[in-house]
Amino acid sequence: MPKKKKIGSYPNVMIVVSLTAALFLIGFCGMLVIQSKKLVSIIRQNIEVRIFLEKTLSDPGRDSVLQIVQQKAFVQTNGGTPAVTFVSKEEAAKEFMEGTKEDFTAFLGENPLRDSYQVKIQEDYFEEAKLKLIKADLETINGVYEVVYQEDLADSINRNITKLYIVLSSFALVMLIIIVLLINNTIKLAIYSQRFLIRSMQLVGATNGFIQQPFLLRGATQGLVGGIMAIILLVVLQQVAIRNIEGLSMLQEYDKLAFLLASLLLLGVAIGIVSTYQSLARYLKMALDDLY
Amino acid sequence: MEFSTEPVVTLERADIYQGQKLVLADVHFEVNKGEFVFLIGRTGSGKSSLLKTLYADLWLQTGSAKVAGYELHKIKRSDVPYLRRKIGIVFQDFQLLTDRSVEDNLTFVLRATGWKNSADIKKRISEVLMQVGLGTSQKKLPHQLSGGEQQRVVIARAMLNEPNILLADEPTGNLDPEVGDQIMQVFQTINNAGTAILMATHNYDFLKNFPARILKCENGEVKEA
Repeated sequence: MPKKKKIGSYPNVMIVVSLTAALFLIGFCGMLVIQSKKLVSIIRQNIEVRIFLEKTLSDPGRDSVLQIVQQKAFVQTNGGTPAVTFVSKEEAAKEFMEGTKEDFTAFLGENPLRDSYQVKIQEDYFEEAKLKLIKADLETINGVYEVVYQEDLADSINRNITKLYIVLSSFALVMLIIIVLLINNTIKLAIYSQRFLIRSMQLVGATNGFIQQPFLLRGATQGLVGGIMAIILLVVLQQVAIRNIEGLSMLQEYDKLAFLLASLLLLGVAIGIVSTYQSLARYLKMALDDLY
Repeated sequence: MEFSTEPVVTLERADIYQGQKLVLADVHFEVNKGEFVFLIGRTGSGKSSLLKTLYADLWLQTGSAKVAGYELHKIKRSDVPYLRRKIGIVFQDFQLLTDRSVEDNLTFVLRATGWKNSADIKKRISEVLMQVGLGTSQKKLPHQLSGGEQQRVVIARAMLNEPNILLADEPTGNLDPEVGDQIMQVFQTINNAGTAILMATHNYDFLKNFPARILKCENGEVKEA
């Protein structure tokens, strides 16, 4: 026997599917933002400034340069130790020869390279202007010959990442607006299909609160179910991506991901409740006959 | 115990609008406690609009009106449900919910109007069904009842919250004359028990068979007939 259709049947499946799709896309944008931020953070943490020393500098002179550099606020620390590494000219020559496969000492007769310090810079200073100031500051130290860093890298990464964030957040915002409108419309249709029940309740003297209660509860439940389904899809997608894209696991930040997924759940419930409330409020203000 | 003799319905210089259109002007009449009043007039003469104004579906814009203690010219939207609990509404387009039994239809109304105790709900439902002569039909679905029986359930539903007045709009419009008379007798029984009734009708036989006060909607006015 076919199941009897109740008065004012509610398109539950349609609403939950729309909500799931919306929350999934918003969550996907969120995941991209988290991972790109992590990527940029990794790049930033590895930015280095190289301080070349005067050739004539004695060992105590070298130590005094090191002490001054270590006290600078922009120097990254690893467990309290400033991330400053000494590279002797011999090591530098060895690195160079490994890189170029050419022994320049054979035709130059001597090693023209200089002793240097590799200094890791804190993430906050990852801007061209700040790096320029750091370079100028370090070059004032006695015994420093030259300070070198990869110019324009910071600004170009910053520019590109800003663009990426703008594109992703605009996309998420547009998605959110489209979905709120879509859900609103679906719920409006759903409530329209329940107008007979609403009208009966109004005629017998039910308060608006009483009429709204089951609809809001349903809106919240649909939001919750939509949220849970979107979370499941996102976690599956993330796991598949990690297994298939090399190095992607480095970019995972599980605390932020958990926060994102919890927010999605709340967003789903909020969309469900707010859209239902909005549509209902409009209906409940209408004259009973206008419901038809 | 003190009993008030205040009329259940009082209208003074009330204009009744349907949308932007004025359908009845300068309406003034009273319906006293326990009174039976017929409201007659041609189709489109404003009978239904008047009744809708009395239960605050149409807003009273000019003049004043008091129904079951609520002043319609001052009433707040949030008070409308409480006004409606003191009025029983029997309208042709306010039918039973077809997907649930008689008992569930009535339970739905009681729950919607703040009843919580299941035993009290069952007791009240039995009382109103006895009052309309339908003591054994609680578990039936509306389509298992005849037209007359369905209308009795509708009247029972209107009586659930012991209203001060029943507003009925063509309650026998879809019924054959014999069943229509039976329904009228139900209304009379309810009226004899003290509930005022204001009934819009086209059926002039009722006016002869059930003599009562008559109000007539004609040429945009309400007159005593």
